[in-house]
Amino acid sequence: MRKQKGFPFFKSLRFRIQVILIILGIVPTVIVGMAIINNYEDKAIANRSAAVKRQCGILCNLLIQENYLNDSSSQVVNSKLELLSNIYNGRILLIDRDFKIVKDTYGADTGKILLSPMVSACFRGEEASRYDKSGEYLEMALPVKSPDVKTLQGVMLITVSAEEIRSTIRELEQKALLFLAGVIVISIILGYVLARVLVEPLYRITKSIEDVTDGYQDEEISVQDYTETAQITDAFNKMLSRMRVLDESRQEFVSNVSHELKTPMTSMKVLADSLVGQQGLPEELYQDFLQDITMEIDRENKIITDLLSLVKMNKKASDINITRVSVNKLLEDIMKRLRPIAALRKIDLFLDSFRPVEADVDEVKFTLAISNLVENGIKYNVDEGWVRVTLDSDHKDFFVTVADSGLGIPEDSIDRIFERFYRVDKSHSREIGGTGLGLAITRDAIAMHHGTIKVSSKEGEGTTFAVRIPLSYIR
Amino acid sequence: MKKTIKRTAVFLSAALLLCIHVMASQPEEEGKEITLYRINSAENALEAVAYMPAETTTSEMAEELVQLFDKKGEDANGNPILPDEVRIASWSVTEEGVLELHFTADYKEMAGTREILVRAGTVKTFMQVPDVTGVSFLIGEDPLMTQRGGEVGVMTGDSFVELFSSDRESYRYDTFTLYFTDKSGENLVPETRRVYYRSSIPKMRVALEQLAKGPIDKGHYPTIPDSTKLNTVILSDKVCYADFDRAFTDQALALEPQIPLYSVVNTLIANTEAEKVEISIAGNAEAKLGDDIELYNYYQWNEDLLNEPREEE
Repeated sequence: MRKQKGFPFFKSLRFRIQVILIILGIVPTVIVGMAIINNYEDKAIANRSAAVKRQCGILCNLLIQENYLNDSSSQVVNSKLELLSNIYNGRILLIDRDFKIVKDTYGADTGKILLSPMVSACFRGEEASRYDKSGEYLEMALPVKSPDVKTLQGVMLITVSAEEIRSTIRELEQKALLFLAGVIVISIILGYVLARVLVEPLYRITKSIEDVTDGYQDEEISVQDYTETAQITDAFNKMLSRMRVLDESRQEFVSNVSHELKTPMTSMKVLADSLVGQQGLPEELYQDFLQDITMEIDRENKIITDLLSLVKMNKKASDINITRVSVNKLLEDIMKRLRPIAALRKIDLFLDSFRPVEADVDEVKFTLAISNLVENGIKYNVDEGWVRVTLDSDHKDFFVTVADSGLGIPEDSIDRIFERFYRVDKSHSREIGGTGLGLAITRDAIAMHHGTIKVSSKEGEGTTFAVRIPLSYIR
Repeated sequence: MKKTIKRTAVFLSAALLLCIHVMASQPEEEGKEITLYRINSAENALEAVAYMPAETTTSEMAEELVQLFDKKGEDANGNPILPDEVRIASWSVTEEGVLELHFTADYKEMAGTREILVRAGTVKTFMQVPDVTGVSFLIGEDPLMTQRGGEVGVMTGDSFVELFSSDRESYRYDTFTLYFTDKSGENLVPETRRVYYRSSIPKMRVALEQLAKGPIDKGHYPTIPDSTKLNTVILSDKVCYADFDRAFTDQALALEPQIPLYSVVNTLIANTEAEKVEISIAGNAEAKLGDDIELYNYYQWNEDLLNEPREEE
């Protein structure tokens, strides 16, 4: 698999899976192996000790019976001692109550006084048994007594070779090590292969995305191997289609903008050309045409201004300038400014404030948004109609509604009215005036305040816009 | 050349001066360090502590040590051997060099396990006093008795055997008589040797291992290959059964087969209670040595091979 430049191998999932698999192979093997071996060793030693104790117990009875501790000539006892020490490949010491060594099967220390913590412990009545791993022997101190003579007469100290057990253990350890080596090798190989296989779909995702980026693949990507990869590819496809939608709307916007900007230009050119081409025209004609040209220039100016404010609206929220203002006052100012225009067609403007409202808003943008709504209400109205603006609030948000008695919006258009440059009735757009950007600007401005806007309308009766904006601005 | 001579001269004279200084700074009679024995905190074994006695003569050092033993409580260093109630009332040295220690009556009250340690530690400490050949204990004027009514008598360091209850191995010294061959390879010659070995190993095994290691004395030659390994050796009913590995036959030395055979037999009989020996090779008791010698036999002491002394080379 190719390695990306700049991506360290040790951070890769493949490497981690490999390591995990290797550890998973090795650790249990080691633990189980050690547990089994230790268990065997303990068991074996325990069994050996028990057997020795049994045999020596029986011998102790004989010792008492033969009074061996006082007189060590008994042939029976001596041959039994010899046999036992040969079988157990060890040494037996018999010690009387004076700590004197009455009999030593090695023939070395007979007659001496023995100092041994184990023997002392046995004389005190404690259990005394010791397993020396490195020396490979088991040492036990057993009381010399019998059912007939229950008081302690002496101690039998027996050393038993544990060599067979140790050599079995060593063999087991060797085998375990071999097994471990095998496990390590298999783990490494298996780990490598499995890791590669498991992680391969991720590489395919990367490649598919790269193909899409490079443009080789326009379709959706699909890597269905795992639930997770299917989820990733699904999410990616959704993002892809959303990007396509955005792309398309951007292209549409660009073409709309070009078109809208061009139209006044064309009109102006026509008017100017017709003036230039002719000589000796009456002054009124010049005045007329120049007035029209001026109007077109104004129109173009307005479009450009609107576009600029739209663009500004679309930049990041860093440009928003929030202050605490009286919304009532803002609305009153808007009404005052628009009254003359409304008066031209004898349209009544009403403002109903249910309560005083103070909120965190960007004055300029908010004013622009509401102005647009009211202007639309005036523009798309009948003569002698009305436009009513209301203001209310609860403890969280404030509400502004703009209702008119105008033409209304047809049902099939109502979803599209917020789109840029959208006009319900394109044929009459010139007479009505405006740029088609007003509602788009309004919507974006309200969105910047984290508010919402809804519209309801009935053709022939009127339209109502309902705006809701939070009282406090939270970034 | 001249420079080298000059350098050598300077070096030699410096060395000479150093030697003189070292010798001169040795005092006439330097006291030797001895080992004091104390009881360990678990009260089940002895502890050795190095000690430099101030005195050097018999009676003075004995008195010094007796004073030391009498120190109890805060005066003593470490755990003194004698319990608080017991003191050494008096002491004397006999003509034969036996140090008699008279203890107070409370000595009898000591528990058996403690008393043994006291005996051993006291004897081992006092045996280091110069010219002391043995130690005997008395309580008041009466000699110390065993539980069974006999006298304990005179004790020396050898009267005691210590077996450690830890991973320390105890070692012992023993003298062995080994039978090697001479230059002709036709006789057996004895060699005695003192060996320091782990006390968990039986003497017969040590003897055979020493035989395999080879002779030390001049004029003695090995009888069995040094790679010989003894598998098992068992003594039963005065018969010694020795099982060697294959190296005994495969790598046998260039000798008449009866020489290694009787070297082993005589060595075993000389160092154990065995009267007969049976040898097997890798568990096979019916193997053969050379072409003629069948191993499935009780082999006994061979005097003949010893009694053909040749002149020393």
